[in-house]
Amino acid sequence: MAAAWTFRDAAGLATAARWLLYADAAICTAAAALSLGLGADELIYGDLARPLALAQLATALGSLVAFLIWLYRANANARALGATDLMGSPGLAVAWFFIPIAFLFMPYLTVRDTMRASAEPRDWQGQSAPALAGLWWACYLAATIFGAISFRVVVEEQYDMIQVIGGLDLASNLLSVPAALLGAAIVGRVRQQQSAFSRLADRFA
Amino acid sequence: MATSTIDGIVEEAVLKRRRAQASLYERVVFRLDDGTTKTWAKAVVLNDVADLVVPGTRGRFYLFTAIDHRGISGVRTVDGRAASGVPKVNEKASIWVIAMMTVLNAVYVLALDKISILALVLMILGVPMYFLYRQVRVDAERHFAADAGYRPAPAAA
Repeated sequence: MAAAWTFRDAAGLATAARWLLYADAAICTAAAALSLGLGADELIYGDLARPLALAQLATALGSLVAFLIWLYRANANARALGATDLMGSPGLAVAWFFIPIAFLFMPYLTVRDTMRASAEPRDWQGQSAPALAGLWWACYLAATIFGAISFRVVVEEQYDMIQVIGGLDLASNLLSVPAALLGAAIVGRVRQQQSAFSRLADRFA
Repeated sequence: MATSTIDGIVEEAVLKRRRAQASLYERVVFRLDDGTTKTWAKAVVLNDVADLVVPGTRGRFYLFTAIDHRGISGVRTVDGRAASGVPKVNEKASIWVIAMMTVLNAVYVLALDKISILALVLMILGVPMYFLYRQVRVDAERHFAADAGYRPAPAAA
């Protein structure tokens, strides 16, 4: 039996997630600019390396956590607004980000379906897939893969590959900027659509 | 995960591909008896059921949603035809993943004296996945069987 979901306004969550995503985009822009301006060595061994790495870690983790909490609420809200037959559950929508192999495509599907269900909850499967979700996932996945490879090379202590590490980090940072901005745009759009439907439902209640 | 029933007529059925046992529809659009439409996108359907999912078919349609796919598990038409079934491909795939990852880890332990973390995680995840897929199939079959005496009436359907 499907669980009954209650609509809860996610304005605060959405605002927090968006600002953290903007902060992540700003830090990644700064890191990419430093890398391009001063060279990869400076970003890895220079005075700014440690504070920048800590700031990046904080904004990346903070924005991911805020985005996932918001995604749970947005997915639950879409169900509360009448979107039946969404796959899995709000909890699973978050869990997909951490399940091996599935994290390559399931987060995209859940975010895409949440967006479609927020645009037209009753017949959401008839909605076309929003391009925003595809672009966001392409950038996010590519940035994550480049970052993971770079991290792996560092862990293996292959310091003779400093230029490769620098190039991978630069690619990861450059892709993280649109990923964060597109993520913020998704949060904003879904929040707006769900609020509009909620007000409409209240009016006819 | 979830099963549901709709009464109406198939307005559009866009087939993406058909294999030996099952078909994948890009979308199936139903016109419901209340006049609204309902779209069922990326639907996996056994071929016996798919043969009845053609534009113009009127009756009761049994739908299911799993954790990562959805489909049509049965049809009862107004002219008395009926078909049901859920593809087992995901259940079998889960078993394969569990088996392959077990073998892979055994080879790792014997040959390299270490464990592959990825293989171990996939092996462990395969178990709940198998039971979740199986549960969907069992629920869908029960759902269809519970409606055994139902015959859609042409006037009402």
